[in-house]
Amino acid sequence: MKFYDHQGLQVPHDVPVASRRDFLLRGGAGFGALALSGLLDANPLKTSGNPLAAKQSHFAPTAKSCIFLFMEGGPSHLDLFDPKPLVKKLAGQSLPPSFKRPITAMGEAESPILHLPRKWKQHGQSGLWVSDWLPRIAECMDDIAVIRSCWTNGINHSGGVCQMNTGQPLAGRPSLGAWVSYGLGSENENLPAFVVMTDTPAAPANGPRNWSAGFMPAMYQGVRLNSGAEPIRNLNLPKGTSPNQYRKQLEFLRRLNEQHLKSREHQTELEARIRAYELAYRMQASAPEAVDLSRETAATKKLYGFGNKDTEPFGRNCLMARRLVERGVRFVQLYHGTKSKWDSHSKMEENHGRQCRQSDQPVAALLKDLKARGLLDETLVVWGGEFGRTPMSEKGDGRDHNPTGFTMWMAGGGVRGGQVIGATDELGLYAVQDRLHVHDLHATILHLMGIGNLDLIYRYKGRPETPTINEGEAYRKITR
Amino acid sequence: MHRLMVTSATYRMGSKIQNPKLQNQNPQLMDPENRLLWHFPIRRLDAGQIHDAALAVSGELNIKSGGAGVNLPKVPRRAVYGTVLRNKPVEMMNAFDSPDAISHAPSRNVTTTATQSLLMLNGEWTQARAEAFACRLICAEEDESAHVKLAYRLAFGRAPTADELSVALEFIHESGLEDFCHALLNSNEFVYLD
Repeated sequence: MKFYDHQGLQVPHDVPVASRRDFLLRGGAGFGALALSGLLDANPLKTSGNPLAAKQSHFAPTAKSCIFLFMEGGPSHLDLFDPKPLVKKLAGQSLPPSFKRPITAMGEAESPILHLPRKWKQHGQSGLWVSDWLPRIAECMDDIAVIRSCWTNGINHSGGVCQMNTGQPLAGRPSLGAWVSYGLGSENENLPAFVVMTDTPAAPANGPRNWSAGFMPAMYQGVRLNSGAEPIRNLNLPKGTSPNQYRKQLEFLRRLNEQHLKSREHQTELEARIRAYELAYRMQASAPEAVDLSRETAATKKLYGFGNKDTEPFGRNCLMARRLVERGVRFVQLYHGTKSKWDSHSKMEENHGRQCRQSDQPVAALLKDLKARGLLDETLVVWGGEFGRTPMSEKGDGRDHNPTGFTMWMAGGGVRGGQVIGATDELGLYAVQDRLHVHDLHATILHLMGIGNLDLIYRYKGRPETPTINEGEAYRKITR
Repeated sequence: MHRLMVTSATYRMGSKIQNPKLQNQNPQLMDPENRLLWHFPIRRLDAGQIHDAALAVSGELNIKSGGAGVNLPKVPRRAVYGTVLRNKPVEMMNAFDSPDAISHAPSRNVTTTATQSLLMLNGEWTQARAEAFACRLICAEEDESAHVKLAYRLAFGRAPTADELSVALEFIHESGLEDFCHALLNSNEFVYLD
């Protein structure tokens, strides 16, 4: 354990804007070195000035970036990726006595088992099972590792979504994306390292604290991106300000700040703030470019389901996610069914039918498009919700929350596709084989990105904090 | 004890370094991190202070004490009276590292980000403060030099130098008083304390 080691990746610690001053003074080169580095464009100093600059990983990563597709509300593994013949056989009956009664959100432990008339088929060379609700994703199964043995502690939406994002059901910890931007920084300093998009203007359960930096500095938190005229909050010029007027104002501000800096040259915080304004100005050009889908071909748009009111909203976000990882954004999280729309306590057919119709084509398009561009090898795509659903029914035609066993999948970024990891019991109620807790899932994602989950440390209140709260183990076999 | 501390020479130092060379030894080289407190560390105002200072300068701040919590971005009271909704953080407070009010925060983070710059430059709230600031100057003084002098005194607590005055006047002629006020609110001198 290297709790107090500030070498290597442990460099980001609790003095985030550890200024260039230390570097310069200790290096003895002074500000001349800055000019030199500018000339050489090698930028050895840039990393010590910008805390979000790209950093060295713990070991060679297989994934440079991650796209986390969050199906909010809890998709049913039993009707999508984890077929259970026994569910059909026992339909209408209670759980057999041999099954331990689970505590569920709505207390449906004794309700009759629900079977839905899905058509199941094996797909690809690997022969992975997928139901007829996801015909397009089914075409990609040879690239997908289906993890059927996930489990979580979060029993309700708030706790579940919080845990899937931050590792624990109670609020207050940094989001996984925040840990990744803390650990790895961004490859593109004109864009945020951690970006979040939702398929509707609604806020997901818990709101922005799902992508918060928790106790870490605010710079690591996720930035919400919109597809509209203003992709990032406050990106556009104030109403009634002309670009010319704006430039003049920035120029005047720069003069004020430089005058102020003159007698305080040793205070590099001041210089850092001048640079933040320069970066903001550059972001005003790069962010709209990153989300400008007009440069995409008609064929690409069609692939993602543009022109169809069901698929276009999430299709746009999936396409933007591809553009963002192309531009070096580290962690992109896309909510589908924002505000618990996958939650199906009743009318499963209607609910999941709609959710799948909206997301199946865009998700498959993202995988196919990344693959066609050679990006899937370095981009990890994760699919899943905060939990799965019970084999027991609720209100006759719905299913309750199931945190004790559910499915997520990963593709790309070094993951070997076409495999099934772990298993639930015969009714899909409990994960029984190769069980992977949320901490293990997070550890696996971090591992693929070159980060040891117990080696990435942020010191807070005197404690060495890690992304998986000193627990969890990466499922390394996922790459083999 | 507090008296002893706050009246000590160490506590009363400024953050400006006069570059004293003690027997040819440069403290900047010996203790660049200022561990031994040979100068006062420069301080960025925290989220609430930036909020309150902007309202104070624009003349809008309600300094009444006590009372119920308020909807912070809309009501010009001190930030300490802002209602905290943990799922809906106030943009300004969040951007400048105000703790999330979920767990204890023994010390505050201080970050400098482009998000803050965008908020201060383009956000409606700062715009509105700049507008009120300009109105205040116009109401209080007649001529432009007096506007600049009062603005400097309110925002920076000092008078402008002759050079600064002429640069400011030149800018005001081109871009107007409101843009000038807006720039002051964005400046390092406004958000940092020496």
